[in-house]
Amino acid sequence: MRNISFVVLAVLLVVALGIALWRAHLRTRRSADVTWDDLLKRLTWIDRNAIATIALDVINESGEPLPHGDGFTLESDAIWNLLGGLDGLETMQRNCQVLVDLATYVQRFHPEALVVAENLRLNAREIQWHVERLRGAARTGNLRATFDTYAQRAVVSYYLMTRNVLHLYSLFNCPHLAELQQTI
Amino acid sequence: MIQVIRTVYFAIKWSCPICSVLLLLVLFVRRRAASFPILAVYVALDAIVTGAMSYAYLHLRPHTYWSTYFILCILDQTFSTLVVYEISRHVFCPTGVWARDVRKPLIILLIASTAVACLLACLIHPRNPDHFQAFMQRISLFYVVLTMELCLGMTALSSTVGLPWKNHAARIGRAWGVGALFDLIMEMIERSWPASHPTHAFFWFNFVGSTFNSAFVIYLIVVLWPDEPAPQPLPDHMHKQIYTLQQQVENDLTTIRSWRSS
Repeated sequence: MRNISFVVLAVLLVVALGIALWRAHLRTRRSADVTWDDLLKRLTWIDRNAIATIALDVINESGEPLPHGDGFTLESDAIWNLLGGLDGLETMQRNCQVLVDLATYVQRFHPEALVVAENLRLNAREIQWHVERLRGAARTGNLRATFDTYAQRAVVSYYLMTRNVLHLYSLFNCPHLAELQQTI
Repeated sequence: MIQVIRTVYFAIKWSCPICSVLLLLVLFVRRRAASFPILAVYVALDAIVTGAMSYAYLHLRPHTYWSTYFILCILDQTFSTLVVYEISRHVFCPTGVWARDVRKPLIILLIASTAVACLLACLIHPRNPDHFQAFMQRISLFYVVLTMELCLGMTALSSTVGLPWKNHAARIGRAWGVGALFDLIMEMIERSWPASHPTHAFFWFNFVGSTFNSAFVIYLIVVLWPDEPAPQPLPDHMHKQIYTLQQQVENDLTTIRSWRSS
C-alpha cells in the first residue's frame, strides 16, 4: 500500500515538474533566436498620454516630486480608468518583461557588459514586481487600498523607465524611434 | 543469448570506472576543474568508490559489503547534490553575489523540495529487512528526489527571472536533472514490480542502470571537451545604450524607493 502511495506521488511529482520544465523550455526557446531589434519590437502599444497624466500628478517634467500638497490629486477611479483597467496593467507588465529580456540578451551574448545588464535586469524586475502587486490587488478587489499606498508611484516608475528608453533612442538615432514613441 | 547479454552487462559495468577516470582527465586537461571543483571531486570520488567496491565485493562478507556500499553511496550522493549548488552559483550569481530577486524563490524551492523528498523517502517500503540498509535506501532516494527537484526547479526559475545558463553549466545541469529523473523512474518501476522473480528483475535493473550511467558519463565527456562559444563583442552603440539606460533606471528607482519609505 505504501509503495502504491509512493509510486502515485512520484508520478504526480514527475508530471508537475515536467509541465514546469516544458513551459520554461518554450519561454527560453522563444527568446533564444531573437535579435536586439526584435526585442524592442515586442514592446506593446500603451496610451502614453494617460500614463503621463498619472505620472505628472506626482512628478514634474524633469522627474522631480511635486512640492508637498501639490501632488496626488487624481482619484483612484480616475487612475484606474486612465490605465485602461486590467488590460492596461497587463500591457505594462509585458513591456517590463521586454526590459528583462533585453538584459538577458546582453548577459547571454555579451558577458563583458554583465554587470550593467544584471543591474538593468534587477531594476526592471523590481518595476515588474510593482505592477504584479497592482494586478494582484485588482484581482482580489483591494485595488483602492493599494492605490492609496504606492500604486501611482509604480506607474511613475514605469513612465520614467519608458521615457529613458525613448531618450536613449533619440540620442543614438535609433531607426525604430518613431515606432517606439507610438508604442510605449 | 543470455550469455551474450551477461557479457555485455559485465563489459558495461566495468566501463563505468574507466569512463569516470576519462571524465576526470577531461576536467583537468581542459581546465574545467577550476570552474567546477565540486564536480571534479565528485567524479574522482565516484571512480575511487567504484574501484574500491569492486575489490570489496571479492573480499568482504556480504553484510559488511552492503553496509559499506550504502555509506559510500550516501557520500557520493551528498557530493552529487553539492554539484547542484555549484551549478546554481554559475547561474544565479552572475556578478559574484546571489541575485537579490532569486534568493527568496531559491529558499522556497529548497524547503519545498526537501519536504517532498522527505515525504517520498518515508513512503517507500524497503524490501530489505535490515534496518540499517532500509534507512540507507530511504536516504539514497531522498537525495535522488532532492537533486531532481532542484535541477528542474532551477531551470524553470532561471527562465522566469531572465538569467541565462552558460553552456557548460546548462549541460551539466541537464545531465544531473535527467540522471536523477532516471533514478526516480527506476525506483518507481522497482516498487511496482511483482516480487515473484526478484533475481531476474534485479539483473535487468542493474543492466539498465549501468548502461545509463555509462551513457551519462560519456555525455559529460563529450559536452565538456569543447570550449564554450566565444563571446560576441558588444557594439559601441549598444554598450552606451545599455549603460545609460541602466544608470537612468537606477536613478529613477532610487527616487521611488525613497518615496516609499517617506
